[in-house]
Amino acid sequence: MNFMFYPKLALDGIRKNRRLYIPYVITGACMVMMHYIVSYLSDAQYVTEQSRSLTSVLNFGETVIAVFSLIFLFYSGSFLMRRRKKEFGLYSVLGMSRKNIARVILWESLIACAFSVAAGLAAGIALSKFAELALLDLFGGKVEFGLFVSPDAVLWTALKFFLIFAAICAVNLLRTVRLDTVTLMKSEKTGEKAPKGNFVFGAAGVLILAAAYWIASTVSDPANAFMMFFIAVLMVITATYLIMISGSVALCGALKRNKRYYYKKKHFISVSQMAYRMKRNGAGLASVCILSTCVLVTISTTFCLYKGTDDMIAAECPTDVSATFYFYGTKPEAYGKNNISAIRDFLAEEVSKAGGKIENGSGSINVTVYGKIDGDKIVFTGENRDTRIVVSSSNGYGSPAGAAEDTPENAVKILTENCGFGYDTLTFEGGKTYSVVSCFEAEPFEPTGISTLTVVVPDFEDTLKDMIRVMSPEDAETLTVLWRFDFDTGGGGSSGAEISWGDLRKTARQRGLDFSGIYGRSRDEVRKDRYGVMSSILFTGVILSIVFAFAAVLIMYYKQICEGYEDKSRFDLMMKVGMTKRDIKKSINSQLLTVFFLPLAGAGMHLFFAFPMIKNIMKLAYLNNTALFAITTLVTFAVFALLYAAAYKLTSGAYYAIVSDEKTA
Amino acid sequence: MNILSVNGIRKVYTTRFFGNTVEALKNVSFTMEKGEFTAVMGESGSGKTTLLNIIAFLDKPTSGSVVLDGQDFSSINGSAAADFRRDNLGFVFQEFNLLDTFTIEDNIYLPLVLAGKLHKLMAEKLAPLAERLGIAAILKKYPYEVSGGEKQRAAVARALITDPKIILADEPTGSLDSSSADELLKLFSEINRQGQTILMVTHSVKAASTADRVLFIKDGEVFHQIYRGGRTNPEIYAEISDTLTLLAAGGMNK
Repeated sequence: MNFMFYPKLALDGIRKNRRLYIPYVITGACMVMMHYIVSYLSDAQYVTEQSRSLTSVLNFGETVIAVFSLIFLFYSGSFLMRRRKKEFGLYSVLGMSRKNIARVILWESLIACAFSVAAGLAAGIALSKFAELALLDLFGGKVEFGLFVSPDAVLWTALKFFLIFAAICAVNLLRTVRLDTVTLMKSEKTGEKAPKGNFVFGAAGVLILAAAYWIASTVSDPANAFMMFFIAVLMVITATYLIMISGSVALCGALKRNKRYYYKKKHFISVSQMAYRMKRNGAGLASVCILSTCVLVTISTTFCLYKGTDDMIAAECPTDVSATFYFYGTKPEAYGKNNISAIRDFLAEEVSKAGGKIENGSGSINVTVYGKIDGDKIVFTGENRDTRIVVSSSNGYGSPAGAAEDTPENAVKILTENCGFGYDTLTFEGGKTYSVVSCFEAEPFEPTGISTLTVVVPDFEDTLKDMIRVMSPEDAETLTVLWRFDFDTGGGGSSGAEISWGDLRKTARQRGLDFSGIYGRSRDEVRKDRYGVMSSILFTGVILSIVFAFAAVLIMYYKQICEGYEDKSRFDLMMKVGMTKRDIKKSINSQLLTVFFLPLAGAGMHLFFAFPMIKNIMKLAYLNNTALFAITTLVTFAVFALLYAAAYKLTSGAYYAIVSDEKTA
Repeated sequence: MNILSVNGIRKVYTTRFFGNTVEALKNVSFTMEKGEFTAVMGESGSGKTTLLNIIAFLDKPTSGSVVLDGQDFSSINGSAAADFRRDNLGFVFQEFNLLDTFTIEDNIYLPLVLAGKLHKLMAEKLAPLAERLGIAAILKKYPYEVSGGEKQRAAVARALITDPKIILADEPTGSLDSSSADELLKLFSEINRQGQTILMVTHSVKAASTADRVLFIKDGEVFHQIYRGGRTNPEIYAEISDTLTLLAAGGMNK
């Protein structure tokens, strides 16, 4: 036998089924392209230099794409095979053995794989430059010219997708070869029956969804929100499947029972066809709904995080520079006002050496101990499972005299987190009694759940001395006093001087200044770091959203195309008994509109209820701009709906072409 | 009164490659009276189905005309043709062609739904018809749940429910076992007795022998016809058999 026989037969099979194969190969190519781009970028040198977080986010994206491709190509591959069974049955009747058919399938898979990988890599290499430019633009890096190809990325992408296609091919072989000729030839003829206990499933779905929505809209603690978010997501996914499947079964039943609605030319055919495959329909709609929700949540969240980066930085770094000096143990002279002001003078000197000048300086000192609140008295225990007591002061520690942070004599300000304090006076164990001028319960900034009592005292040195006196010497040894000094460097909004913290530490030691360590950071460093993270998150989010959106549209397309082939003979017959092409078009529109826009509406609803929860989670990232998030979400939804409508147009055209047998594609 | 007259129908197919032409029908003319039951016989490829498609206006003749109840078919087209088919013709196919997405009841309603009739009216029409055809018990079932004979009776009900001027049946017994086929033919005779005009294309001598008249088509022309003229089915059966033998032997002249 001519050895080109099988490749030719396979190629012919692909050509004859191009309406199914073209989207399949395009999906494959698109996944390959995305995978290559992400893999290429995660390897690129400037990316690794830019930030480690970027590399890890991109690597994460790469894995998600690979796993998703496997699932999704499996799905569309099985769709493809289902449509082909009759054809293979015919081959079998014509005398092909199972081995021969297996060879045809093998060749088809090989060709589809080769096309997908080749086209995907070509597109990936071509587009990688754009992706690179976009990424560089996001975090404001320098643009390099020239097109680079990463052999590693090419190799890994090709290998991964070859394995994916091989797995799909193997499953198809098992499925097809196992069946005998008669089964292959017989096409599906029986409709789906309403499953038993449909009402129970539907009710369960509604309950789960309501619970998920309730969780989403009531959880206000950002740390919990993060965990609960995943639980809610799982619940929403389960509920969507339950509701969409049982909902479509129930809806079809109800529509059929409503005789005045059902026996109308417009509804008769579409309702009966939807009822015929109500379960499949429901599952498909649920998948699309979930994917759409993924796209909407991903895009709006990541875009909002990126756009809010400046806000986050402003909240985190109110000044150009923040320097923290720490002092271990019991050395009252080290954190005494004299030493602190010597350190401050030293800082001012160093900043002016670097070409700037200290402005808007504000400093405070604090120490953290553990203790119990006993009425209005604080008892130090040193046990870190007790309340955290932060004793702090800014009187004379670098803030301008009479600043708002200052505390009047013999009085304290109190800030509580997860613990209350309801007295007018406060007494330290073995120390002074103060009157309380103000007491607030703070919203936890970092959601640790630990109870904290912050006491702002007027005389830090005296208070600390009193504390050390009543503490055990071991506990006193572990005390760490922090002096934090925030200041601008005279650049008028931007940084006026660059400070090298390593050099600063060395110089300070040479000068003989008394301190245990320095931790300093400038807003510029924070900004670079934050933008690195946020732009990589946005970038990966966009890439993943494209993949998800592609999948959603393709599931829709495949579903309609396959149904189109099934429905073709029915429409043929209906034309014989007096249906016009216009009737067909109307009936298709009524069916497709429901099928397409139900998932979109569902996704919109999910997004609406997820909104408060995502807002809470974003607080973790110091982002608290509800208006920005609301606008981003709305715009994302609008853009997605537009793209979705375009996909609808395309699909309805293809469906109509199939059932009315007009030559297109 | 003529309900159908077929005048000099010619149908030429042009093959896609090389422009070869195939003449499926050369020159077919005949008329049918109202209430007549006519069978058309002929070998495979003799043009029977082409003729039926042209009468049903599913296909256009190259030349010639079809006049149904005084109305010339060639004057209507497109969606008007669909409406015309729906309101005036009833179809019974070899493969039943019931839609598996519908129950038997909904299958029968289909032409009426397409005509935009109200459900109450449809139900009123179906009840006596289902009784007559013996399918009242299976109306709520799906096609894959009933037997071939029942399916074909449902298809006959679908054809009858619009009160068509003529029923066109294409090998209606072709997919049935012999007892179901006998039942169906009995049904056809019965509805014909009640005044329904039927045109049936068939291979089966048995089926043809129930008709009032049998037309024989060979090589695209009406070759011969037999009238019942008061004879019994077995007598007609014998004559049809003889005619077919002669036709096959080619010894019969016009």
